Amino acid sequence: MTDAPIAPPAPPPVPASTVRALSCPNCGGIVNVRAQGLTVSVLCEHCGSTLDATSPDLQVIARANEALKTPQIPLGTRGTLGGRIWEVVGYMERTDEEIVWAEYLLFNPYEGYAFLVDDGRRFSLGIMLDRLPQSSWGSALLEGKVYSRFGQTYPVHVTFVVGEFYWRVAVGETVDETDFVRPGTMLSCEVYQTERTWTKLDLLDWGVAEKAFGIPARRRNYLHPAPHEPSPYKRQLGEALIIALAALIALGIVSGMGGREQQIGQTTADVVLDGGEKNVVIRGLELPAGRSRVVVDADAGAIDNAWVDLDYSLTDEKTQDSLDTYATAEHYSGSDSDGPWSEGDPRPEVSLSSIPGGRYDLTLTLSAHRWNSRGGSQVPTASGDYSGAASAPVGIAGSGGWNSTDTGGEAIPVTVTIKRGGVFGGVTFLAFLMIAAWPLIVLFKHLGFEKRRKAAAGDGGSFGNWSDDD
Amino acid sequence: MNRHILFYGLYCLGLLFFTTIAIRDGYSPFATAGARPPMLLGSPSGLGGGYGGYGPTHK
Repeated sequence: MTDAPIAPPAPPPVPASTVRALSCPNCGGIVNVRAQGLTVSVLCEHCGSTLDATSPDLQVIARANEALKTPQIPLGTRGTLGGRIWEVVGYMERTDEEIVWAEYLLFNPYEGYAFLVDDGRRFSLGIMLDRLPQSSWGSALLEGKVYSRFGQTYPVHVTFVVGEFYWRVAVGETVDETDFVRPGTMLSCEVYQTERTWTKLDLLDWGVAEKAFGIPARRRNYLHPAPHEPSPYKRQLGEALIIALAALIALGIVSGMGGREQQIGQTTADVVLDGGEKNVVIRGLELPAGRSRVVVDADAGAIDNAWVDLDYSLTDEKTQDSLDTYATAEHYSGSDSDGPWSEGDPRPEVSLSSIPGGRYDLTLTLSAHRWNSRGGSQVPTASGDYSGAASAPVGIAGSGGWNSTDTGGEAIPVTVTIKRGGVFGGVTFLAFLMIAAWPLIVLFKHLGFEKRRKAAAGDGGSFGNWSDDD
Repeated sequence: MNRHILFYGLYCLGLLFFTTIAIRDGYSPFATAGARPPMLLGSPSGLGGGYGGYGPTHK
């Protein structure tokens, strides 16, 4: 072993110019033949005529019949892709009747030919395969990688061509193409008469081809993805899920630190049905320094077809600041044509948020009322005043369905329990939603991307979505 | 790790910070308190609008 430094690999030699300049027999313009001995046909850049490059005097094969277009990457432009220098020698546009894309024929005297396929958004570098992929359950298998079939076989026509090619390409040439894809790569099988060729297309990163051939970089957009374009959101989704998981674990720990509820007071009061209001005061409720959650639980489990109004007033003994709130314990049941039914919560819970520390009194005002199905929606007082329930006369059954005569004097025990501490489930749930929002957004973006990518397969398959309409 | 993830990580940290404070202080944006509103005379329950009366909603 020697410690001699390893010399960096020498850059590939720039091929010497082998351009042969000839005169177009149709228009007299200069026609450059860059791949001598390999080029079969040349399309004049000036008049569009197809010339036979195998004849010494460039005989005209076909005269141009349409206006010439200028490729975005001019013929003769050299660029480095994948460490190799390529020269643009030909350009053609092809269509599957729905969309149009461009293919540049690249040439390197040491590497041969390659295709730079432009779908209007991104470029792919295509190398013709010198071996056949294996067929596997409708997919293609190459170098141990499975390529899924993308759509049906579809005809592809050449709509425009200029430059030189190693085959006699002409406008109107039609091949049948079948695509197989995996993220980032496409295998394209073209059948022309008895000839079948396979090309492997690698999607180039954004801006690589533009930088290599000196054209303006394109803006990223993912509205019309190529069939072999990997979802840009997949990686984001994975990373977001990892962070979300960590955040949710932290949220669980934080919620656990909130502790459990601790009972700080309890009382049981008997309240008479359709009797008067009853006031009860629970004194000396201690809340620790800082702020606390306070829960007031009421339990009137014995009621049926009745309700109990519970008004709470939590008063700071020192400042006399009070906080008012209320609850209703109710339970109704009956039977009708659908069978027995019941509803209502006889054990309501009221939670008070962020109560400052100190010593408090809780004043309870309770009043119980019976509901009668004959007229339960009416007010149970003779005066029509809610607060007048306390003085509602017994025996008003005939005045509106509030029957107090048959239950007068019946007392319902209501237990009120005051607790402090614990965690509001709503806060934890809100935090959960806010943490999960971004991964969900990315997931929907990923699914939308995949849906758009596969939509082309549903249309019969096509290489890309390049179109002036886009 | 791209910019999106950096922002998302910071967002989660901020969210956890405020959640910790809310849990410590027993705070909830959903917990409401206040005096019982006046009862609407004769209005049946289940019509919405808050304190509209009593009785089951079962018909």
